[in-house]
Amino acid sequence: MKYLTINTGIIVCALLIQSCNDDNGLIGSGGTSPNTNSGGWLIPENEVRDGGPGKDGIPALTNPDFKALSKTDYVSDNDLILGFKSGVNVKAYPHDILDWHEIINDEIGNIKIAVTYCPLTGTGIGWDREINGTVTTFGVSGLLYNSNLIPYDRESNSNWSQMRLDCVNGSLKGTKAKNYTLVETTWGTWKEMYPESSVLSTSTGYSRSYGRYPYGSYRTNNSYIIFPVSNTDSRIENKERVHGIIDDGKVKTYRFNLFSDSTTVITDTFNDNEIVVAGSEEINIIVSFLRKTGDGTLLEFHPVQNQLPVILEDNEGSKWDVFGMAVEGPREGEQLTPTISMIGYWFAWAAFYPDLTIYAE
Amino acid sequence: MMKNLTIILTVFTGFVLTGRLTSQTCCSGGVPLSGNVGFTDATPKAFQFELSYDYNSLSILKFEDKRLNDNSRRRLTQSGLFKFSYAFNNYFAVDALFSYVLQERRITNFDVINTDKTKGPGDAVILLKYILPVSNEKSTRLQLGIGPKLPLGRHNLRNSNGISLNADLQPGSGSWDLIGWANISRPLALRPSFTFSSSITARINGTNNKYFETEKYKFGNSMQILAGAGDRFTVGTIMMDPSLSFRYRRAWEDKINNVILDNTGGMWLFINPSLGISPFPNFIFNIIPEIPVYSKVVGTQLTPTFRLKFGVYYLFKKKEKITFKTRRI
Repeated sequence: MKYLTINTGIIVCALLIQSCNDDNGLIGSGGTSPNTNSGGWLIPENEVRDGGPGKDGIPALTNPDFKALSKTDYVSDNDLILGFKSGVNVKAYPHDILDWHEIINDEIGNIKIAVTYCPLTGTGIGWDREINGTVTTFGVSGLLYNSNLIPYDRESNSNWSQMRLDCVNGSLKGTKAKNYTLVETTWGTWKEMYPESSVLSTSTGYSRSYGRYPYGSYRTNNSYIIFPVSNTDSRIENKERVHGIIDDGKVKTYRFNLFSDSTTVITDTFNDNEIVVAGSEEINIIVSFLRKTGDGTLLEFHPVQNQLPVILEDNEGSKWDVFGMAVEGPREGEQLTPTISMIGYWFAWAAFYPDLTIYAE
Repeated sequence: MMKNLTIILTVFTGFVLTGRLTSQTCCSGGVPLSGNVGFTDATPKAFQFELSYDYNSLSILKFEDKRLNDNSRRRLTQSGLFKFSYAFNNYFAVDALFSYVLQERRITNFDVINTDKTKGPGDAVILLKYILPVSNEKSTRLQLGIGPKLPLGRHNLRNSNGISLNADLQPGSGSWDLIGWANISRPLALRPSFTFSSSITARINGTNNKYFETEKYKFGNSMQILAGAGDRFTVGTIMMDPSLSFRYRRAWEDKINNVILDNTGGMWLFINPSLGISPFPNFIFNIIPEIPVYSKVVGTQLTPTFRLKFGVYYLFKKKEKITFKTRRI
């Protein structure tokens, strides 16, 4: 009897203490595609956090289905979308789906784009999926830096920082992302501007509660920041959405209240660049471009009211849409150079770029 | 006679209910501490020991009470639990529970498997118990207990590249918690070996003030109720203890920096068939599977898929000859 008791105890003990030969508490992180690489990080390692779902726990979409706008019924007028236009192709990526997938690997004409969106910082920007001549797709690493999405590219398994716009870990470390500026606005505004556009379908292959925001009060609760950030700035409430322009590691932000009455145009200089910022708080849109055209002309702009998607008219009589395309006038067909910019929560901008400036401060 | 009956009840209820209140410290994984506290009987001047292994797999993704068609994620918590108890007299006893934890998160997506694993000593629980006097062996028995959960487990593990892991993957919670426990049992008058029993465990959680070094994390408070019945019969000289019970668990949402964290908390209902085998006095081998019956989570969460606990129980009383009085049925 005693023998059996002792024997059984030993067996159970052995089960309990299996793999106990490592005293640092970590058995391993990895598998066939570990979420970190050797060689260090360009950002402080101790400020990179595990977000919880794990690598690919939030599944990025690749070449998803789109539907005609007229057949899209899961988006409400006040919901935000990210829009992209290339030639005659116009696509909308609603936050309702981006909240659950964060990255959409898509192809529009000849452009292979990854639409990246971080629900925790409210930032969305497009990246070219062709890197050093190789086409890749991006996935969600499950890691965060300053509460912001760290995508990884599946070709090299390198980790990238969405708001820094560069690769921060892996064999491509130091590589800058080639960006495609997206237009963020409400569904109601988008429908008015681009009724012919295609819209990301809920037939993603995944079962999710699309249309239901998964983070509760996060969008509006200024005290609710889930992961620590390296810098805070109390000049603006944490969750106010601002338009930030990034240039050479510097950032300048533009608040929606600058565009409060109607479509408004701001001419500004940032980091030696002459820029024009146009927007409207009412229709929830801010876009920005370099004022200098390809032929070296420095254009003057004034706002255009009630002609969406046209938002600007220059001193030569050309009219420009929200993507910076001249749709009428002597420069019809020309494209303004978009700034590298996106809309995001103020706290995130302050965390990434402590020296940032606020327009009209 | 009375002594024998006491021992039988001790062993019996020790088996029937020990380990049934298996819970998780958080909603998507965690260490089954609060649910394992409290031996359900106490023999004066006697020690009770239990060594068990707890396997808890979560792979069902749910939005509220709707199952989502997504099998890409799995959270697995394996716990080694060592529990002992000493009864000072007929009225007071102390229980202690220690744990060793292996946590695993596995994502299978895009034909790739990604895993993160941690391990280490987990938290511990001390429970002081008061046993209400009973008039005879057929009376309803009631025990009350209260005690702290000690944050002995690591709660700041990083992976091999220095990446801070979230609370869900840590062996410990980093907080001092308070656990209240009550157990009531009553033998069937016509068949004393058949016992109805119920337990309730409430856990009020403290806050880990060093989550990610600077943040405050609080796992949601929880409450669970277990109710069931078990019987005993013998096969030859081996005593068999089958039982069936239901466990209801309610967990409130976690908080980070005092703000409710979404996609945490919910309610779960499980069924626990179990079997104890006692080949000789004072020793029981028990096996307790747990099958989810219903759950409704807050938001979208992984929810328990299957759980299995098995272990050995031993009652030790010095200088007294302990015998079972087996009864043919």
